[in-house]
Amino acid sequence: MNLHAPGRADALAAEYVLGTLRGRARSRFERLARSDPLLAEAVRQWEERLIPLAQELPSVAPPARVWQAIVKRTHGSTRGAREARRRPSLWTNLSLWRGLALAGLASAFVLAVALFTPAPERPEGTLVVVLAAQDAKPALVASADRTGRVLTVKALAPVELAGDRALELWALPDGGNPRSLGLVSASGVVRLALPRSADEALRNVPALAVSLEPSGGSPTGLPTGPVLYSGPVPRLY
Amino acid sequence: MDDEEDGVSVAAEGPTPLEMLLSGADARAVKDCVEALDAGPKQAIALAFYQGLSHSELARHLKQPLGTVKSWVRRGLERLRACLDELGVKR
Repeated sequence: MNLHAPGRADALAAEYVLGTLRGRARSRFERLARSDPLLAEAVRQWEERLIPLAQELPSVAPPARVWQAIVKRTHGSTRGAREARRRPSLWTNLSLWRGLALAGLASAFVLAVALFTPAPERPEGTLVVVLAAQDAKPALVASADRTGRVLTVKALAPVELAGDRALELWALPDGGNPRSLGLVSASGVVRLALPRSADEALRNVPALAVSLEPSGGSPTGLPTGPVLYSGPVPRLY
Repeated sequence: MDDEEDGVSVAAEGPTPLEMLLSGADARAVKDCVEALDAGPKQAIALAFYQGLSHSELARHLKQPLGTVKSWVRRGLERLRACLDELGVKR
């Protein structure tokens, strides 16, 4: 990897952030970026350039009850309600609403981009869910052909995880227990197999969430750790 | 429920999430610059970013030679950068 050719470092940083730098080239680049401040700076600048792609759009506010429903579903209604009473600040937390609104905005924009992008093989369109942390920062983007059975989950920026921890993605169905969709990567792209087409598998699923679990995933089949990210599943009418 | 209404009013009264988090201009600029790209590079970059496709997956999906999509991605990113730099200077 010759980083000294003019523009080369910047081009690699761009493809690293975009995600098209793969495999050994990607690992080598990550290693170099750790010890090369100029390279790290190039990565940071490209993140600044590209991440707004997951953020900009016209206003589509998600329902205020989404987060409440997530807490209830992931922790059981009694405990969720108790925690909500104990920590009323959760409900008045500006960054929370900002996060939910932003996630909604982001998914609407992503959808807009997906729609204006011609994709001959996907006449039914693409389902895109942006999962954001409570501080409103989009962390993961989950996308699938509506008729396909593959859910692609991409980390927008690497998340530091302890070695014995994993991120697990959950569907939060309306009026049911969270359903695990599988483990997702904290730094790259993962493709998860869905039991049915994305449209069917995510019907009556208003939101997705990611919880922190022991490596290998939740031992109980339900979320056991904190919810780190969540995002509304957009509906096409 | 009171709590929920509090949340709604906070969201309704404050500046938009976008205004708080980004200078709105940045996000608009990125969107405008992406929209200004040629169809091939635009499609390749959108699919790579939103769908996580690799070069070879892009080539298959877009039914183009690998070299073509690699150059679409490279050229698209270069133009995106140039476009943002230009808007950045004016801002």
